[in-house]
Amino acid sequence: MKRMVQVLLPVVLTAILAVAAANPGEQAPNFTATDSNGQIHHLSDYEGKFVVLEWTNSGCPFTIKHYASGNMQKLQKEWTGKGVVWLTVLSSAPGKQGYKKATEENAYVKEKGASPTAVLMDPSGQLGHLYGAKTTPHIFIVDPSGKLVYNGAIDDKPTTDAQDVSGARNYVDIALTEALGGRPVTTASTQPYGCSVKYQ
Amino acid sequence: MRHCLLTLLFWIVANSSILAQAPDTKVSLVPEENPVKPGSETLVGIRFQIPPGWHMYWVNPGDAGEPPKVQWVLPAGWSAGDLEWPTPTRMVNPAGVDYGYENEVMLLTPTKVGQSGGDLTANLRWLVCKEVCVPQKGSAKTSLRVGTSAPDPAGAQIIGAAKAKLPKTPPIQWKVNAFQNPGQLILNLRPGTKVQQATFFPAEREIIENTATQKLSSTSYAAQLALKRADTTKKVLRLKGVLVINGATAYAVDVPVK
Repeated sequence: MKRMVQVLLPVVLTAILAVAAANPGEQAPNFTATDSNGQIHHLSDYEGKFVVLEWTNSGCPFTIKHYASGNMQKLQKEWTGKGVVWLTVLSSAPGKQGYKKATEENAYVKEKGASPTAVLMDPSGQLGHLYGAKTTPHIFIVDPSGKLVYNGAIDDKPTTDAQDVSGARNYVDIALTEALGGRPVTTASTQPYGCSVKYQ
Repeated sequence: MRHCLLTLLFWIVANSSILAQAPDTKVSLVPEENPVKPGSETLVGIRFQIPPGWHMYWVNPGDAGEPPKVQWVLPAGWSAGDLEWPTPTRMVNPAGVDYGYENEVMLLTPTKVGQSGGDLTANLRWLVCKEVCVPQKGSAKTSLRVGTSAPDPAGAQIIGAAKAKLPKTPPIQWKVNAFQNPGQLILNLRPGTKVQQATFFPAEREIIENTATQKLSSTSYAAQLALKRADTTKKVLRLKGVLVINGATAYAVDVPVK
């Protein structure tokens, strides 16, 4: 029995660590997170809906590219208007760039004219690590059955130049158009670009 | 008056996350030769002196960041080729692995010389990061004369040192090659000695997983490095990058993937 535990335990632990990331085609990890208004959200609350998770950091030049140009706000408005749940996530640790208190974040969202369904406050980085969020921005899309259908960059121009927004292939637009149209997502996985998420 | 000051202070604090600052990065152009022979090829280095504690990125920045970009303004008849990048270092942080440079980097530019001399200007944009990332820009200029070529008194030695930091072409007898296994790219070489340690830096994004351990197997004459494929739908036809052996010597890799 002891021998079996010695052999199996490392295998079990490796398996547990290995699933702490989200791969397209697999069930997206369920989570519990609190938003900037103190409400608790679980991914399972949104069964039957498409969900977008958008990692953000207001000071990161790559994030600024998409917010100053109005690109992110445009995506949020368009897709929440079509019934998609859009969750912006802040995984910056306290003291690090992008960290905000709830009231600061609500003021920021208002100032930017952003319209996420909710902003999830993740200063411990737990949600970020659960999904394997690497950069800001980093986008994950979950379908109504809870399956992850997209993990990666917001578009195909990995730069800080706002002029690159209009000519870029927007992977979020493409994936949601395909998925909401009942078609498979053709580009399900790309390398995200941005600043590194400011974990603890 | 006090109300105005408080409002101003509030505004500065509220926007402080957007007003990220970095110390200046000094940029300069360093010629290898001056004068240069008309119609010949010469090397011009773009030198970045990076503020201490900050870093810049390689052609493939890795998981985060952005490489520097140059836009040249040259005398008529001159042209600038692709940048030659020195071997980067591997920078690990909680979110991933990046590739770049600290302290200083010299990007070498093979330059085709016209029939007459003049000013060469490099308009540069780059990202410098520490805890935060700050986009910076600047211009560097140098004047080159044409004639019988001669080493630039200040530049020749600096360029020589920079050339030594470029990855070398591996000897042909090493038979460097690559093939795919499910989820893996395998890099093989026969250097004729035992490789104790190896690190591969991919020159392109979306090829390998930058955070994954690179597993080395080596005999007294051959070595194999297993690289975890990136989780993307991009097809890999060639493996391009830099292989650093025993933490000491860097080799340029550019092979088809079988």
